[in-house]
This record gives sequence, structure tokens and C-alpha cells, in this order.
Amino acid sequence: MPKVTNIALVGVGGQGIILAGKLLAQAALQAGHAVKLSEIHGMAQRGGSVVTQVRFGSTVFAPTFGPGEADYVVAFERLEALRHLPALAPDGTLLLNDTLIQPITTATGKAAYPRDVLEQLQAKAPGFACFNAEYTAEKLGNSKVANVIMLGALSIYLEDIPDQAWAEALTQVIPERYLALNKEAFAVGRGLETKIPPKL
Amino acid sequence: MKELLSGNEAIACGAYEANVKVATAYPGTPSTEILESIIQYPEIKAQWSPNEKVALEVAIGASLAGARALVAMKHVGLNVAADPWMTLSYTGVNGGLVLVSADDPGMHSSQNEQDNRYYAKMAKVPLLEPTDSQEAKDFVGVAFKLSETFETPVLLRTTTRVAHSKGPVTTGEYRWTPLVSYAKEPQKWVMVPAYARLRHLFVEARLEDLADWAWKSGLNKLEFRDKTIGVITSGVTYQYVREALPEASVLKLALTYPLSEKQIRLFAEQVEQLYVIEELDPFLEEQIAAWGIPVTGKTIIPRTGELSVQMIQKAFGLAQPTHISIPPTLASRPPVLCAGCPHRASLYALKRLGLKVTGDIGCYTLGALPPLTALDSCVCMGASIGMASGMALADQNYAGNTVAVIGDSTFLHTGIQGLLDAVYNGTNTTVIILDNRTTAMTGHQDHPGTGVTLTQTKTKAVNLSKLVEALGVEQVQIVDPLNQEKFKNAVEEALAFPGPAVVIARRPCILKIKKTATPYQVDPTRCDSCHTCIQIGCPAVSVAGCHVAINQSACVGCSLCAQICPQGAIMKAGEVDA
Ligand SMILES: Cc1ncc(C[n+]2csc(CCOP(=O)(O)OP(=O)(O)O)c2C)c(N)n1
Repeated sequence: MPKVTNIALVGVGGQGIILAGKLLAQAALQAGHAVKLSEIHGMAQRGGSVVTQVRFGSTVFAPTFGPGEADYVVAFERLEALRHLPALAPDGTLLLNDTLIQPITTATGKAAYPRDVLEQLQAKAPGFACFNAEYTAEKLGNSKVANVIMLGALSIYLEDIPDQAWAEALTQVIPERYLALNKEAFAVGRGLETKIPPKL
Repeated sequence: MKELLSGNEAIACGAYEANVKVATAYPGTPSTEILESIIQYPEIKAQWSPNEKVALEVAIGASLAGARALVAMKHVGLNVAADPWMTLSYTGVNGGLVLVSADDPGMHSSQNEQDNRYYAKMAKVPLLEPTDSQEAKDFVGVAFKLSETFETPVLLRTTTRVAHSKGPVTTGEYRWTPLVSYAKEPQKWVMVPAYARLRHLFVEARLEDLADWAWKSGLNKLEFRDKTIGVITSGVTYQYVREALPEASVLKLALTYPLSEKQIRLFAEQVEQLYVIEELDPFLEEQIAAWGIPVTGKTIIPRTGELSVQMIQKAFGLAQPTHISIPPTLASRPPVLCAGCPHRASLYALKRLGLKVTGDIGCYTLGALPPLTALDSCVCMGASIGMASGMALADQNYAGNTVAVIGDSTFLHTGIQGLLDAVYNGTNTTVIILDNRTTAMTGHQDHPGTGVTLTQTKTKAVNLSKLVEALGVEQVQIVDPLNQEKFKNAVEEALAFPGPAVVIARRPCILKIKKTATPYQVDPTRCDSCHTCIQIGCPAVSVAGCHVAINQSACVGCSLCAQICPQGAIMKAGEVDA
């Protein structure tokens, strides 16, 4: 079977994952690939754990993929990175937007937010790429564009989606009045250095 | 250039190309975006109806008048619309009529995972199942032709992974068609016994013609590869099969009801081992097995939840990719009521009053989860009121300590009748309408109470308190649940009232209000760590060390935590002494 690139975008409802998925899928389409995207709406969007899966290549059948099959897991939150680590293929890459959002279970003290998430990630996915997209987004004046910054960071890895395809995708998906900001966020994301994850 | 469309967007596009003139729906995941997307085509008259039954009836009327009509709903919506649906099969159509049922295997956002393919079988109408977005669009056109050719409604069934997956779609042309001419035909449209008996004969004959057509139409695709394994499949499962068993021969069914026995036999005879791979129930398998064709299905394929490529590989003993394992006890992240959600205030007050709460469906159902755990039941839309009445009938004592909670959209969907029942039978039922002025759960759709239509046109808004009074309810109170004292008093008064009473807990959904108030903070010198505020389950409030912290960027200043803090330790940011 010809190679398909599998990407999981994971995080917390409200972090802009649906938009990020849309941009990624549009860029892949723009680059001439067959592409499928699968997302979940409804209940899960109220601050729950969310996943969007994007697949592209010469032929794509299923809109979803299973554990051990993600070439990239782009995590928008630490705990969600750990939760979705089983998606990662043995030679896959984890990209983390290093923020921490307490789920209601830990906020209420019913469960513990693991203190060693980053160590666990380091042990299970050594050399993962860690970014501070939220911080960078705030510097751009809008914390909401952290999602597009992360896509910029991801774009470096996706050699079969050329710059032009990303630019076209941004123009097609983002409303006019936010376009300049998002283009800037994407460009900044592309140039972002992965940071050494801090110890908790 | 191909467009990237979800199954739902593709169906909307298909409706436009097929010259649909009327489209109706009541929102419900995963079907909602069909109508939300259809409004980009002004040629289509599109509307939210108060419930699925009405939506279908409006569509039937449009069909009677000669227009092509599309009606969309989630799987359980068809339970509500089942009455017109079953007899519509007898009348058939004038202009084409297509009902889109979006099923939710895996229950991503539903209370059950019923398999709506049986609704095609029960009504004896054709069932089409697209496998991706392109087919979702194309099958709308096919469905309308089928509908008009065979004088039948058509069930177009999607599942979450078709409805909410995006794929490239090549769009077509809009083709204008005139209305089918109208002729008064009582024998076809007036279903009294004498006429309906004749129509039933027609339905049975139509079914035979359809099975024949299934074979000849070329819609079902025979894909011969290696003939050791032959798989019959449909919908998104086809995609899983192609990936899990790339060498297998496949009969890809587009029309999954009625089946052509001839076609199935032809395929079965050419393969060594025949399998049916289908999500949920053995719908295809049972029919095929009933023809005496040896087939394997549910003995190796699960009956519950969604399927996947890996599940099929596993069923066939194929290797699975290895994967990283994580601690099994990882803290879960369930969905929560938003910070500032008015439902939290209502449900917390009911909990404090120690009441039994028959629940309903909407965002407030999330209040069933810890820490609020405020609901005792949730069955289907509208059930809360009848159930509260039933409890009161079972034991008088329940009347004094049980309330039904129901959202505004849900009340207008199927709650009114439950209240009418209580009034009619004089049941001492207390109903709390959680009036957040929107259908929040499914993404903030308007409804008959909001004064705005699907196309964002101003309209008359139903007056809930007048409506409730007109039903005969003698005590109706409107209160803001964020005033905890007032709200609790209102609920107690309602419970004490002899006869049905209604409290309208009115405050708009926080996501609909753009402005937020000054956030609150905890004064650590006053906080005695009782964690009462933690019990409201607000995502902005968390245990921090032995105290409590309020996330300043998440807090919207609703004041609920401040109102319930026994120490008065929570106050507006800026009022806390540094
Ligand atoms: C028969 C049926 N149709 C549609 C749905 C999907 N659905 C679940 S709750 C809901 C309405 C929620 O609105 P409301 O009652 O106003 O509560 P809110 O979410 O605004 O709190 C809908 C449309 C369903 N579960 N059952």
C-alpha cells in the first residue's frame, strides 16, 4: 500500500484544533495529495479531550487511523500529549505546545495531574519537539493563533507540502481580516526553535 | 479544482445541485451542518423546525406540492419523525423526498447507537449509504431520481465518520427543474384504511422493483481482486475494508436496502469465503444468511461501537502495529459546562436543595458528571417532564422533592406535551425550563423561542411564560439562576404549589454574550479550604495546594462561586487586599 502520512492534532476543546485541521488538510489538498480529515463535534467540544486526524498521500481510504500509526502527533497540551502518545508510530514525531490546562478531574482534586508529564514524554518519545506557541502568540498580540504557530512548526517536517500550498490554504480558510495575523503566526511558527522542555 | 468538504457540506452541495427547493431539520450531531451549510444557497428555502416530526411533515407538504424536499436529522430524530415516516412510505412522493439520517456509532454525541438502517427496512423504502464526501454529494442526486422514479421517499444514511470527515469533492452543476405538477389524488395521499390497503400492495411491488433496480443500476460495485476472501460492505466501513484487506474482493453496496439476491449470490459464488463487515447490527448479514448463503459476520466483527481498520485486521488475525503504552490511570478530561454557564447555577441550587432531578438532553446533561452529579435521569428529548410526573404518580412523596429540568430548545421540541399531560391529569409536577435562549449543545442554533430563524431573519419569538400559562399552569416564575437565593426560593415555592408549576431559569448562554465581567479571586487569608466552590465544577476554579485558585483568564465573573463561598473569601479581582 502506498505511503500515507498520518497526523493527529490533539488537545482540549476550544484550542482551535478544528481550524488547524482544516488548514492542514487544505494545504495537503493544495499540494495535490489525496486527503481525508476526521473530527468530532458536539459534546467533546465543551472543554473535553479532542482529536482531529488528517491523512494524506497518493490514495487514502479510511478517514481515521489507529494506535501506532501517526507519523506526527501535534499536541496542544501536555496531558493530552501523553494521553495520545499511543497514536504515535515507532518512528513518529511528537510536537508539543507546552501548556498545561487542568481537566475538571484534577481541578477538583479527584485525580492528579501527573507532575512528570514531560519526563514521561521524554522517556517514551525521546527528542520530541517542544514549543511555547502560546507565549509566541501573545507576543503577536493574540493568544488564539497558537494553533497556527504550531502548524508553522509542523510544516518544516512535511516536505511534501510546499510553501505555496500553505500560503494558499491560509488564504482560503482564514477570513480576510485575520489573514495577515495568521500568516505572520505561521511564518513565526516555521522559524520557531524547539525549546528544551523545562522541568516541572 | 476539488473542494475539501465534510459529508454534511457535501450533502448540502448535492441538495443544491439536485435543485432541492425546501430543506428542513432540527439540529442534532452529527447532522447539524447540513442545514447550516445549505443556507449558502438562497435558491433553497431552508428552516429549522421545532422537532424532527414537524421537519418531515413540512418536507412531505413540499413534496406534495411538487418540490424536491430534503429533511435532515440525527439518528434518534427519526424516532420522533417515525410516525409520518412510516405512512409516507405508503403515500410515496410527488416531488422527490430524501431523509438524511446521521447515525452515531460509538456515541460521540448521543444517548444511544441505534442502527437506523432498520427504518428503511421497516418502512420498505430504499436506503443509500455513501462511503465518503464525494458519494455523499453524488448520492443526493441519485436519491432524488430514485425517489421520483419509484415514487418513494429515500433514506440517505450517513454515520459520524462520513458526516464529519472531510475529503475532496468535485462539484457539479445546478440544474433547475420545474415543480412536478400537482393533482388531487386522494387514493394516494389520503391514508384511510380503504386507500392504505391498496397502497400497501403498491409498496410491496415497489420493493421488488427496487431490488431489481439495485442489480441493474450499477450503483453497487463489484470489485474482484483475490477471490479467497470476499467482503460485502457499505458506508465508511468500505474504506476500512479496503485498507485492512487490500487484496480482498469486495461487493461495495451503495443501496443497502433492498438487496438484490441475484447480485449477492453472484458475488458469493465467485469467492471462497464470504464475509459481511458492517458497523453495529447484522443488518446485511441476516438478510444474506436468510437466503441460505454461507456468510461470516458478527461472529468476528463487534456489534457495538465504531469499526476501524485495525479492528478488521484483528478480526482476520492480521498483525497490528505496536504502540507506546501510557499509564492506565491517566486523569480523564470529560467535557464540562463552560465557566459562567447559567446551567451550573441552576443545577448547583437543585443539588443544594437535595432534590431528585429528572434530566433531559442539552448542555445541562453535562451536569450529571462529577462534581455536580445533579441529574438522576436522561433518556431522550422531552422525557424529563413525563418522568417527573411518573415519579409523582408512583409515590406522592416524590412530588415534593422532584423537579424536571429541560432546556428551552428541548422544551419547544417535545417538552410541551409532557407539561400538558401534567396539567391535564393534575399531576403535581415541577418543571424548570433552563432558558439560555439558544440550542447550545449542538452549536447555538436558533429555535422558536429566540426570535431569529435559520437564515438569521427576525421572527416572532414564542413567549415561554405565556405558552406555559396557556397550557394551564397556574404558577409560573421567571428568575435568573445566578441569583442563587432568589432561584432557590422560586424552586421551593414551585414545589410547594399544589399542581403543576414552572420556573423559567432565564439567563443567556455565556458563549452568546460577548462581554464578560471582572473575574473573581480568592482571598487566601479568608479561604479555609472547605472546597465548597470546587463542587460547582467550574473550569476556572481549581484546587491549588491547600487553597483554591481562580484562573483569571478563564473566569468570566459570573459570581456563582462568590455567592456560595461560606467564608465570603471570593471577591472581584481588585477587592482582595494585597
Ligand atoms: C430527537 C433528538 N433530536 C436532536 C438531538 C440533539 N440534541 C441534543 S440536546 C439538543 C438541544 C439542546 O438545546 P437546549 O435544550 O436548549 O439545551 P442547551 O444545550 O441550550 O443547554 C439537541 C438538538 C437529540 N438528542 N435528540
